[in-house]
Amino acid sequence: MEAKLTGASEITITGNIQSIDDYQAIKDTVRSVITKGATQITLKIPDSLSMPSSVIGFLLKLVHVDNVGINMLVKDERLYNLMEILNLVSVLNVKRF
Amino acid sequence: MNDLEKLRKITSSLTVLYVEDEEIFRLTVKRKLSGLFKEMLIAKNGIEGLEKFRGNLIDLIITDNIMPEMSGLDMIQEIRKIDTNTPIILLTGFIDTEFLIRAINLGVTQFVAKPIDFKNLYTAIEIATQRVILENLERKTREQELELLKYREKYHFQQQERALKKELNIIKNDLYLKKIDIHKDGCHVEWHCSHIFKPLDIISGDSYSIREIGQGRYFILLVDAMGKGLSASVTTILSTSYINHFVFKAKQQGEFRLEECIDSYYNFIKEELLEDEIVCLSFIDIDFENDKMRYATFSEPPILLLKEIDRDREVLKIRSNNQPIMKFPIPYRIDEVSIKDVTKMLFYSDGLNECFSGNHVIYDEHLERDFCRSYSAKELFGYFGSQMDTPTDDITIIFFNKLPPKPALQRDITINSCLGEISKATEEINSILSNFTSSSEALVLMSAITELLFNAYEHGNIDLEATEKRKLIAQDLYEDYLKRQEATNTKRIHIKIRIYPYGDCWMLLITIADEGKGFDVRTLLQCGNDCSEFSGRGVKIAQTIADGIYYSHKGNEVTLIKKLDKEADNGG
Repeated sequence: MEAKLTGASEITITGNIQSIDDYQAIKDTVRSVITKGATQITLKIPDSLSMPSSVIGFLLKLVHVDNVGINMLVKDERLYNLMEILNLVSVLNVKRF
Repeated sequence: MNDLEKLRKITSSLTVLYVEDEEIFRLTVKRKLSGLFKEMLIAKNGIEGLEKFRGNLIDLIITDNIMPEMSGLDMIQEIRKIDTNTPIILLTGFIDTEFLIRAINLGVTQFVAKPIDFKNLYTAIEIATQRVILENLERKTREQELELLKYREKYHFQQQERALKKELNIIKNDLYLKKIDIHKDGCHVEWHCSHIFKPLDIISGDSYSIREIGQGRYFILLVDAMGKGLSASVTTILSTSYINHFVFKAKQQGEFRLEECIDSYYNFIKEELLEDEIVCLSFIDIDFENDKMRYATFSEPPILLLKEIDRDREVLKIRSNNQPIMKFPIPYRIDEVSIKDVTKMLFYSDGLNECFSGNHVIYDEHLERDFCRSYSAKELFGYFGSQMDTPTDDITIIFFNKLPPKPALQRDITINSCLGEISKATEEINSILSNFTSSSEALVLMSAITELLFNAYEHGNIDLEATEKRKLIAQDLYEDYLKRQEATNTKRIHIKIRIYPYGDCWMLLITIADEGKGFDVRTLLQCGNDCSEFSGRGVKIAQTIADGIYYSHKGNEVTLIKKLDKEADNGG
């Protein structure tokens, strides 16, 4: 998995998000964008089939504690369904692309 | 009350626009009408009148006709292009047929001759504003009705939410996410129980309970009251609540007896049933230690048991041995069946087997086949959903499955409570899975396994409570805390991978055990729905991906089950 900055406040995460290292990598990349002053972050996820609860927890903390807006663009239907089941589509602004 | 006061009652909520070029008239009319309206806007000519009309919410226009810049009629013509409703009183000393026809065609409501007789003006105002008042009243009533409707909808929604919560609280499932371990004659037998509860309405005519009544002994209750909707649900809720209470008391006294349970329930419910009311129930006492099942079923669909001896498979249909329960006493019987070679058991309400497909095929015809090929209630319900139309009745499914004795592959891994070792273990598990299923399926499964491994690490061995974890995440101290804790933690995580041949598929079982104190699995019922919480979703993610997850009694060991399609494997 790789988390890359693809815009001023856009991060593209390629590969499957799964391990603790993936969580750390996403967290570091997102933090670097926030440090530069971003209050809205777009996460583009073209490959991942799932998302660990640790990453979800981190994103929710950004929304509810740090007041950072998240927009999540996902390609895989399984990941979108998981977000729906977990009632996260609205709070994380999850959209298909 | 004089006429003016009566008029004031009608007009006091309205805004009037008065257009007059002659100051003397303006001042006189303004004085005479003062206090009659909520607000009075004054314009000196047609152009100003038009501007004020456009910029304000006007209920009534009183205008002179002959004015510089723009006449009253020309102003009315412009106003009518954007508004055809507002009543207009034209003050004029000029009476001409052509003028009158134009004024009437422009929708002038009333005419008052100049010089003004104020009695006539008050009458004109009264007539002109009646329609406005009525329209305002209608609008207000519509708005109030809409508000009332919104309130009622909100109220009903809240009531339904509470009712569902209550209904689910009445259902007691001692096997929620738990497995049954039986140790007998040096052998270990593992049973997995799964369930589906799909009420048609919020308040259901179906209900169930699964209660532990002794060592390896479970009581299963299925209730399906006559009819559908609220009336059926009252009897169902009464029945389930009473029987749960009976089980609670029996456990307190040290012994549960099926006969006593049925007798006690009958004595209770006969007082509550209407003369023509019936209740269908299943009272089942399964003794997994001694391989026997005692049952009294009252007009419930047959219990299905799959018996397997070597390669021989047979489905036993245990039909109801009693009539439905009614207000009137009817003798009943309890029968016993051996479950020695039984590998699967299915208990269900008639909403399942009596459902029809679009081409009028009853699901009962497919149930036996789907029962044989399913490993869980979730899988069976998936087959049901793919063949049948929308259910027309409440559906309850309780499915028991015995783990096959010999796996085709078994691999045990033990690791320290350390993130680095968890990463290595997941790589190893992934490489094993890749031999039995497609890489994408393995990746999805690994998400579930990682969640459970992480739970064993942080909640099990490190003993991090959910509330404490939320606090640490909020303060950005979570990772540092884990690093500090794992440096001194000596507890280990035990991973057992088992893969069984299962018909045309592989059955994967991954058991993850920690050395922590365990937890009450029922707390998971409340987890994972609040989108403002930062944690508590791991098990829900695993549940979504797996066919089933089952905890040990203590809660420090979890088994994930997933059927793997052999066609998708890579040569394993």
